Amino acid sequence: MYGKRPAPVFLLFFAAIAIVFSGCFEIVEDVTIHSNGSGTFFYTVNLSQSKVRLDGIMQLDSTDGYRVPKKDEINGDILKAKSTLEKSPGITNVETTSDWTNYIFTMKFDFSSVNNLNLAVESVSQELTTDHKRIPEASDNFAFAGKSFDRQSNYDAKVQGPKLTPKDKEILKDATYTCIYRFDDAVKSCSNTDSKISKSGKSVMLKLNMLQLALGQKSIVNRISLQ
Amino acid sequence: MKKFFLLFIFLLPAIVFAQDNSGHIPAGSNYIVTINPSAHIGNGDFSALGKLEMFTHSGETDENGNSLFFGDDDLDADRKAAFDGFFTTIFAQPSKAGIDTTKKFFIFFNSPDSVHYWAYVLPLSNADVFGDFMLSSLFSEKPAVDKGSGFSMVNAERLSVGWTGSYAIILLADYDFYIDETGKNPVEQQHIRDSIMLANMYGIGNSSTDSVISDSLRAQRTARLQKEEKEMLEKLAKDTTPEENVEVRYSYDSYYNPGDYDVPEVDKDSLVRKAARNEMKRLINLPYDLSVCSVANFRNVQQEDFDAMYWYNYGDVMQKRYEEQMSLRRDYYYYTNIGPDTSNIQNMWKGSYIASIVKISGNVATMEHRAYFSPALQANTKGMYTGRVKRKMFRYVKGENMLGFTAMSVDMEKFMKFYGSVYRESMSNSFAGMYQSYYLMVWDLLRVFLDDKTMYNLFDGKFLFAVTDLKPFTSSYVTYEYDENFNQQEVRKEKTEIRPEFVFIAGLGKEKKAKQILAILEKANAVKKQNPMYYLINTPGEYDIKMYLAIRNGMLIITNNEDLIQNHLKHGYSRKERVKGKIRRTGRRSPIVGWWDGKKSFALIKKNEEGNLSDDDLKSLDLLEKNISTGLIIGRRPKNGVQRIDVKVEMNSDDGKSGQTNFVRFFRMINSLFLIHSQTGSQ
Repeated sequence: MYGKRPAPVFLLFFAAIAIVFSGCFEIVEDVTIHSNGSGTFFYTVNLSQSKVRLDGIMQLDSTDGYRVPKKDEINGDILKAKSTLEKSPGITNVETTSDWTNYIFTMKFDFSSVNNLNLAVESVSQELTTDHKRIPEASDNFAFAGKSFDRQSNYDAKVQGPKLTPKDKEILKDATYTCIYRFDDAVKSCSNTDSKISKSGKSVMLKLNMLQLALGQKSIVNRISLQ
Repeated sequence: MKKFFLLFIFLLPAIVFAQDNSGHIPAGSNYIVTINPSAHIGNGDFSALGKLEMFTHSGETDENGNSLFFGDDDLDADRKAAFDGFFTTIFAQPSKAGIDTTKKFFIFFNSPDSVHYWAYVLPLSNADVFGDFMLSSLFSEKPAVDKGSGFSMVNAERLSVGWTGSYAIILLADYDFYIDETGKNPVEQQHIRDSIMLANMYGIGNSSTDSVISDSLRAQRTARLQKEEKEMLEKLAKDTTPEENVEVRYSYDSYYNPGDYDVPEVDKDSLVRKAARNEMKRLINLPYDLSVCSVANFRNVQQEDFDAMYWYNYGDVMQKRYEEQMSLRRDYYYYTNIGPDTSNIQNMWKGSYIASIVKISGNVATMEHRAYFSPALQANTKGMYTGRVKRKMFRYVKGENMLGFTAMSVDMEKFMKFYGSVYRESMSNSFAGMYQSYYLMVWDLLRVFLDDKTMYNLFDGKFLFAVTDLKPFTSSYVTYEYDENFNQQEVRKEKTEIRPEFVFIAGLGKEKKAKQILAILEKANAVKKQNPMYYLINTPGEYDIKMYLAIRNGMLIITNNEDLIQNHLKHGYSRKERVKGKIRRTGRRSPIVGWWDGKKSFALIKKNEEGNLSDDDLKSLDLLEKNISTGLIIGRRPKNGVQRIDVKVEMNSDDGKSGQTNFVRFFRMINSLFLIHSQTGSQ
């Protein structure tokens, strides 16, 4: 979106902001799915660990070959994302926050079905790319069939991993991607062995290093079976 | 006889400069690099350079996807590899390529319009050898050679090679057609609304303001720009130069249809190919008065002894940048009535150049930067840099681990008038002035509260900035912890990072006024008083990063050095601890001085980044630490419109142990920096 498009496009435009900006950041994807398929999507990009560097970088036009977006542009994109979501079918209560002191950005909305969630995520990522082209990595990330929930991924590490430059790797090596999925029913099993189940048995957490994800050493893909 | 003599005098520059081929470089070129290879041929210098990584990544791209040779990004992969190999041979085995190494090589970049050009001008010792070598290197099948009047030419993709008996020009073209999406998204629409509001509020662009450009003149210039653009596009579209298998479907209408700015790639490519061929013919027959030889300062610099020289057409580039910015925001000035007029910028900067001259002599590599001021700038900068910083300033600079400093001494009134008024004047009629107005508003507001005399004398014009260490600093950040049910809790943690320790010292002219301003800042929560001696500055993150401010002994001191602010504010560091007398005296040698301890910088980076560096980075840092001694920047007072800034990099004595010339040692150091940059994070 800004400057060179990074290889590991995961979900939303926030990831692109994070990659352009920073060397140390965390992304949290927190999804609540009720039994009827509706739920809440809460996405956080936290660049707080790099805020000292970011304060300097924000004064520049470009850094390390990436164009540095202006604060207005980022605020504009957040507004654009919000407006796209509000128009997306089955999406309500869209909220965004921008904390420019700590460099934390969040987006939260309710969805009436997982299909609506997929469409919303896809629309936002498409809207925010310069050429408005569909990003395969942002499509069909979630699937829900009553007693099973799938976190899918179209990111092909075998293709994208070798394209990572040393600078990309440097940026991703200390970054984390955390997925939290919350359900009304208890979780029976998870296919991804890196995931943890909460004490209540109704939530699953998967915290991954983004470089390992980008290189395909770890995966975000998870099938969660519910009781 | 007299007539003949006058004619001789008139033609002399053309005759002299016909020898070095710079007569084929347009005067308006943005950048020109001159390489003088004569001293480095036959001693193995160029073949040694050819082995350095920064020159041997033939056909590869750097981390940002750019080619390692200027201008060949758009060639297809095979030709790019061939092109890079071709240039490597030219430098490593010039005789094989028919290149004359007793004369200068030129590389230049020119962007006269939407098409821009990279070109290499090479002197030839044997045109036939060059022709054969070039054709076999760059083309898998022998192409048709276009024989012109006294020259030969071959073309492929956006590449055009032309050569005569004495020189060759290798030209690569690319385009810069903009895609104007102005006003299509809500932010830009809002921006337009803001622009209109501001324009109305401050009367910018309104004929009632003090603009020196009348509305009719502005309209004329807008029309002229549009006409030039239209003519250029039409000229290219009508060009009948045969094109290889490319159908021209371009039309002026399609370009100007606001709903269809996306000119097909194939059309743009076709136009660029044609432009390259036309430009080649133009360069071969370039009249003297349109060539860079007609610029007296360029001619004079070329007469000097140097290893390499970089020429930057600062005035024209500045003008082009503003016009580029304005063309991207075409709609804004239609809405705001701010004309695309940049004549004031042109009047101020036209004729300003920067030349960087590299000489390597013994252990010392000297880069002399010369800023040639335009007559308007000369008038406004005369006497601006004067005097030297005060000795007492260095008391507050800790010497033990100092990495470097910059010192500047200016006449504050001239300095502030230059930046406050000259910049304003040069931009007030351009769209750039729109952004500038935000800053100038603050300036105007200040004038309400402070009279000119106070403003100019608040600081006395002496400034010193020193980096005194690289050390761990602690700051906090927000992260998340999760309870047993993964409910998120925001927590603040501390993080230690290696950052530079610095001190900035500014001499105060009106200490009483400065204290009054500080009191206002304190009320506005911009600073927080810690004790009677010093303040904490409210940096982003609400005082999270400790930055201190103090007024002491007629100086304003800003630093992140806690030890200085808490223990040494009264009298500065002791003689033992402060910066040595020799370095202090260096800092007071002229109005602008910079000094850098290269050896210490690399040693400290190695020490602080231990465990984070790859083996390759460590190797590069070792080489840099071993070879670089110090760097020194001395800026001189402008004389006859020329400001000189000498940058000297002293290398450690080698005593011939490495078996390399200092020229090669210098480039090996640059190569190490290249490797550190390109391998960052390779582990």
